[in-house]
Amino acid sequence: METRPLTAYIARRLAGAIPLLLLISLISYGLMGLAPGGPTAILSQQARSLTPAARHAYEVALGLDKPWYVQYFYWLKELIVHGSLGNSFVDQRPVLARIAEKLPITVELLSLALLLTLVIAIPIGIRAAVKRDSFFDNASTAIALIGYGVPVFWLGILLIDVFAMHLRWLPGSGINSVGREGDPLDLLRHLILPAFTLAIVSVAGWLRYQRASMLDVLDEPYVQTARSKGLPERVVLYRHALRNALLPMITLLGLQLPGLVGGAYFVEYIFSIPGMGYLGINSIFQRDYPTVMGITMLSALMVILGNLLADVLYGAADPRIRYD
Amino acid sequence: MLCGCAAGAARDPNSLVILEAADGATLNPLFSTDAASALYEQFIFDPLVNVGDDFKPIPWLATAWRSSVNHLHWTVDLRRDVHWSDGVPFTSKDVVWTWQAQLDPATGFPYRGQFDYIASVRASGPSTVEFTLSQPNALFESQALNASILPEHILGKIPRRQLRLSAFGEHPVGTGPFFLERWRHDEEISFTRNPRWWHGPVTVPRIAVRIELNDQARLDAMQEGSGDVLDGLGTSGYAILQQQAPKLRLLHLPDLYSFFIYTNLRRLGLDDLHVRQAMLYGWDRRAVVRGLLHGDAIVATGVVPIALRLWYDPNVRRYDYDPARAQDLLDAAGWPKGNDGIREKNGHRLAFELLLTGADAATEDLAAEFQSDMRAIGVAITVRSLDFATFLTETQSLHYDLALGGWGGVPDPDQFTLLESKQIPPTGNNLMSYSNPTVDRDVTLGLRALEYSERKALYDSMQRVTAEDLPVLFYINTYYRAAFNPRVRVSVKDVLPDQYVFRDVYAWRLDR
Repeated sequence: METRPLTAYIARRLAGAIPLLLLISLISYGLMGLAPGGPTAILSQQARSLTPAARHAYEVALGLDKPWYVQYFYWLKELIVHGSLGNSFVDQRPVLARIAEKLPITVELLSLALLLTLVIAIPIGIRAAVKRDSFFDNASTAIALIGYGVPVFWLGILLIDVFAMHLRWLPGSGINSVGREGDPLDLLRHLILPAFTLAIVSVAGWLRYQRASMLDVLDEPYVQTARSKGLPERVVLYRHALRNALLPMITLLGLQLPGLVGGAYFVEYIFSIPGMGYLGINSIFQRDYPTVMGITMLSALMVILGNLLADVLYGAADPRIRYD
Repeated sequence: MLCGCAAGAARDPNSLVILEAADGATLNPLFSTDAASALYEQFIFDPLVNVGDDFKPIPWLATAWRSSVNHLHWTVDLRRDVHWSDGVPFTSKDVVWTWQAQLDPATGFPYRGQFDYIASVRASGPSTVEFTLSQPNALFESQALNASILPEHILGKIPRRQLRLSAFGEHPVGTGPFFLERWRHDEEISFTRNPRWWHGPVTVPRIAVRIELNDQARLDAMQEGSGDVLDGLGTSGYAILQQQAPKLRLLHLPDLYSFFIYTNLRRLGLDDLHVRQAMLYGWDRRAVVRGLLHGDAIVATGVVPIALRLWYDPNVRRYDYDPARAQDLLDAAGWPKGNDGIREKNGHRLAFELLLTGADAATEDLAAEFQSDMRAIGVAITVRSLDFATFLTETQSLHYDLALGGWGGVPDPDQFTLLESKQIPPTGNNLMSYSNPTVDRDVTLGLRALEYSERKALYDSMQRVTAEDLPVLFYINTYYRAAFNPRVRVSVKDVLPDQYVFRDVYAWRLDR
């Protein structure tokens, strides 16, 4: 793979992402501006003697006295000129700092969910392809599709009810037990149920892709050749077929990322995990516009970069792909 | 097998672990409006006057305070032995700066409106402060002098408009019993004791406020013994701990909140007193308390919560469940039943929408029972659940018929911004558009009178008149519930509800 076309390709893709991000920010800000309720409504209830003058002063201080599109312009200017996502309406801290302290746990959750997904989907996908049209193939596909169709919030509540409330095998909320802060094993225990919730929902896609990809490869002449050489089936499958069957899965990584990030929002909220998704949903309820915008933009950026990374990796893995 | 029920964690015996459901927003009292922030701030900052037993003011940073005969000038004497946590001495400059900042519109202090009667604050010596009021105010001692005092030598260097964005809210300097140790947002905030606190030795070495967003996780931590105090327990959580954790010490006392169904008196039908009275007679609140709330609430009889023992007046008109009387009232008021069983007058049906917010299953069940009770007397109710911000916008812009809500949390019977006729939105929070000259007089003079007997008479009158007028349909007064690990030595009988539970945490003792 030549470096120059790849660099140009990445630059083109990134340049193309800018109008997309602008459009996402405009739509998001517009939706927030048109939504009923606002930060000062909540404040005026908490500070029960808030006078109209004080409320107006608060609105002026936050720039909320202007129409939403003017507020958007100032937000965008701040982002472009100063590279700042602004300060939270809730605690006045920089939005970037708030997100930065929440991002690691979200990344850990997503990574664990992805790992679980792959560990479940790839072996089953391979076996389903090898045992094509068998009971195993049909049953695994059916079960995976049920998982795909289940709403993530419902599944999360169900798992909490069964494994945390009734069986009491695993914790159903938070990221560590009281007194065990910083204990990685305790963290892992807390992340199992939420990661599993996300994994179940995304296994179907991976499984079907893995199965289809494996089926394509199994018919290839080099697999037939390997078999005819008398190699054990395990070697044929895992050394010759799987290596090539995994290639299209790299693309799927990019395609699945939006679903995972979106799912993580609900999962974090349901499992009370103080990550980026939890912060995002709370910020929506609190009408903390700068934080909502910051998280929306970061999520959009993650999805765009995820897609780009998948395309680049696919090219790196398959020399037939050209970037010019 | 992994187990979620018994972590068996080793715990720091020197830490008082408080379990909370939500994290605070900031440690800068100029900008905090949430309950959790107020909780943290009382560990770090001191007020001039603190809350004593029965919510009476007691000297704190102020050693004494006195007013002129007309109660417009107040002189406050300050302690001379107080230092900020960075070692700088506390003086009258700090008090004057705090108040000037709070009253300056440029600061954006959200509670400024509550103190618009304070005309000026000046120092008349290093340890004396003079307050001048534009009119007497009964809340001056209990609210104004109870505000946290901030360090002038730090915040005074920041332009007022920039105070909102200052890092002080994350790195506070106070005169209080504890220092901020570490804050991991939405996870834990910890405080270490101030070894040189002016008030005397702090017996709790360290406080760790642990944010457990999930109800069950907080209950588990108490049952396992990893939590010391669970503040603000719900009804079901209290029942669970009662049954499953007999070793815990449980606190259960009336809190300072009242819950109502707000009525928009601008709506046809709800503007008819007979309709409102009939609705309250026709609503079986006792059944709701007995059934849905497991007996863990008190049927409200007026606008002042029963916990305010010094102010609550039980001698008001009562509305015990009496559906026959409700029907009679509606018949007499000219609202006969239509073909569908719903009452109507001049083509207008008695049909209203009830707004809910934060609706859990119990609230929705309550709404369903209310619907059913109202249907029985010929009033149709539809229910709409909204998120909190939208609910507030709808009610504050008077775009509603009925709304389930409440007020309270302060140890005073003042209801000025809620009931006075000029406080109808957008001016204040009189969401009902209620107007009665007697109540206007009561709540206005009640704020200006300083003698208990005079105020008591006015607020008794307010309670009697509002029980006749029913600007809100009284629902319940609630209980404050908390659980204490037996290793925490605190006199439960002296504990006050709500945010006052930790008012003397510095004197609690921990068994190892």
